[in-house]
Amino acid sequence: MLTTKQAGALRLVAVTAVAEREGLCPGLSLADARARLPDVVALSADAAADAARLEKIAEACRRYTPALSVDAPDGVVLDITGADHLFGGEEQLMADLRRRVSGAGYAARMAIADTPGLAWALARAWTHDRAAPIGAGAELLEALAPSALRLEPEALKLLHRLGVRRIAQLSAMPRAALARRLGAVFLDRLDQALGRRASPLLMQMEQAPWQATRRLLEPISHEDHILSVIMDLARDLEPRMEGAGQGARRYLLELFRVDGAIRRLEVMTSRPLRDPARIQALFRERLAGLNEGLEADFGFDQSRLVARDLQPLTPQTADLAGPRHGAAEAEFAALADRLTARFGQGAVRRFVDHPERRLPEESAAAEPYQRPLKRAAAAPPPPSHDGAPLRPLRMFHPPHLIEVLAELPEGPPERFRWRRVARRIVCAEGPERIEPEWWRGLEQMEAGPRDYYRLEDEKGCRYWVFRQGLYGGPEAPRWFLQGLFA
Amino acid sequence: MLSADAAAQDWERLKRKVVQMERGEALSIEKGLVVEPGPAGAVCPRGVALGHALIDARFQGGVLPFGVHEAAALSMEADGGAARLAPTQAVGFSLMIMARVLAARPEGRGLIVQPAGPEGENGALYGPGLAALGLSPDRVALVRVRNGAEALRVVDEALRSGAAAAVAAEIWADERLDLSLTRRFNMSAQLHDVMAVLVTRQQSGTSAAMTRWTVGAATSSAEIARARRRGLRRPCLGRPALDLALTRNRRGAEGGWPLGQWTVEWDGETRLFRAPEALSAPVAGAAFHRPDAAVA
Repeated sequence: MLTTKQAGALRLVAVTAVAEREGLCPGLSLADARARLPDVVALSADAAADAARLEKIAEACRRYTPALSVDAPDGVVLDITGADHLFGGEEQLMADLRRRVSGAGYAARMAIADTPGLAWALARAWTHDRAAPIGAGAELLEALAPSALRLEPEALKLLHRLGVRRIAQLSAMPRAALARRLGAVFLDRLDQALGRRASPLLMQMEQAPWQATRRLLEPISHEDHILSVIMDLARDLEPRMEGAGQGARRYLLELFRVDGAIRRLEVMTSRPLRDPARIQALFRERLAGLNEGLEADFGFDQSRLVARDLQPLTPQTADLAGPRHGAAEAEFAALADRLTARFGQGAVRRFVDHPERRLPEESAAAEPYQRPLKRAAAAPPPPSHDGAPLRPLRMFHPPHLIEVLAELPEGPPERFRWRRVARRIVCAEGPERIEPEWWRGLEQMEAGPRDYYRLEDEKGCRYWVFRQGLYGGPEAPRWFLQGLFA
Repeated sequence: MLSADAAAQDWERLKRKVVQMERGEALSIEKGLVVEPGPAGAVCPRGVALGHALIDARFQGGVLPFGVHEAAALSMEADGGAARLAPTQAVGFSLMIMARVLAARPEGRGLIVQPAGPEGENGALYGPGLAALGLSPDRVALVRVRNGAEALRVVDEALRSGAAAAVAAEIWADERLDLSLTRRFNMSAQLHDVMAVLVTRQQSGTSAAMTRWTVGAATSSAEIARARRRGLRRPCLGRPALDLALTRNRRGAEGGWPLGQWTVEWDGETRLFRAPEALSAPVAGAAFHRPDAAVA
């Protein structure tokens, strides 16, 4: 039995079957309940946990349809239009849902009807699962009590006082009078339940139009079987996507486990894709890259493949004269996608310049390969002078503070110590001054300009170091090693 | 009854076949690699010339053959000094070879494999630095993996697919890199004409790699000499310079000593190795040696 604080008193919000037989009902104050049953056990209700659990239940219902909405506080509405035949009809779908819900230990009531409002009413009024015949909504509804209309308690009380016990009695009353006495919402509810007025569902997720679903006769858990199902799903999708001239940059695979859990795997590609073999290959890598395995304990009995981030993909005609231009590039992109699927998001990267940034560690980055490229106007000239590189092969970020043992004022170090080893400098070039980005605030400004030098020690190892701060300032300049040349 | 000419021709063919088998090429022929007699009648494998005449002369046909190559960072422990710096030079060498291959194959792409871990202390690869070596950053992709074993898996996948024209991978130390694995890598690399350079720490184990190199840093000797001539106190830095030692070569040129040790400079503009003489011109052209007959 659960209680909550309401109108200044602890009141019951839910009671167990036993308590109900003893005459307790929701709405009763806890004091009254204790008076009737002194040894009643009361727990405080946790609305947030209830809502979270309801979300979970709704999530598990996605196996039936992607169009569903959580009807707080205690309902889930599934739009099974066009989805029921996948399960052998409405009755079979409901039987399947009943089996799973009961199996998971929940008490539930369910009904299938023409409108969400009618289904809401019937699910709460009927004690057994039924599907209302199409078009029989009005008759069924009229047999119910007014409480089936999702009305405010005040309106229900009023109807009770007026002696209205059946909705049929309401239909006979003039609508204008009803609206005046019970509020416009009452007529809305009535019309929604009867389908005279649209009652849109607030969908939890917009329906993904590019998806394929397969229900499996037997749960599968072996990787090979899952891969062959992926192939089937991709083949289901391919003709539709081809017809629309589309390919997808992301594919989401949802595997519904027998016990209600859902495993989600996603692969991303660097260019639009719809070829089933390639999609399967990406998922093969993704599966191989899973650390903890697929956790297929009980097996999966349903799978769904959703294509996302659609982009135009026109079929390429094979060039008879020779290898297609760009074929090598496409092949390389496919390799990058496979490696990304295998080793995780961001494992494969490409080098991108950010010419708008001044500091060397920010002006170039290695970004995930699949991230769309902003086309630069023109590639910057390679930073080298007469074959000698001006930028290092390897960068330390953040740069390493070094101890300069001998220096000329305003000149390069003669000797410095890095990683506990002293290095004597033979060749040096510089300085190259890089100013901070003053427009990015005080922090950058205060750091002061950097004077970069390229140095070579007596063994031929080459370093990129900079001095930060100016001589004669409040603090002595500091030296950093930022990169290594080959 | 055979004529004397026909008998002589048969004899020549047989001799060539024996030479090929001795070099382990029979295997490659079975696997579909085309090894055609070149214009001079010599066996002419496919690969790229490096540009340094003395080095190219060590290889059959004057080209570094496609396949798997190993480059070890020179151990500088004895010098006490820059022990941890040599990796940059070995990685640089692998990227220079990649730049060389991509220059010869305008459609080709490069794949760089870099494991995290202790060697990650040597810094992350920097795009402008690659560009400065003549390796266009938009033609390469970087794969970051956790360890050497994963790096080997990436190399395997890349070589089997043949999607990358050049692969440069830092493996450092991994006991899985053995004879059978390098043989497999080598076969798939040669099947697709891929140049793969694996950067390792030491080269103790057996390997089927086409060549093995040891790479160390070299000073800007030309610049130092020039500064001395002009009486300048502090010389400038020259082109990237490496001390290369070719310690193993399975495709040595006929009749020559296959190994050697050189100090080379890398020119990022022409994308060629060259001898570090001041003001010297490249000694050899960098023709991408791929005879038409070999395509058939």
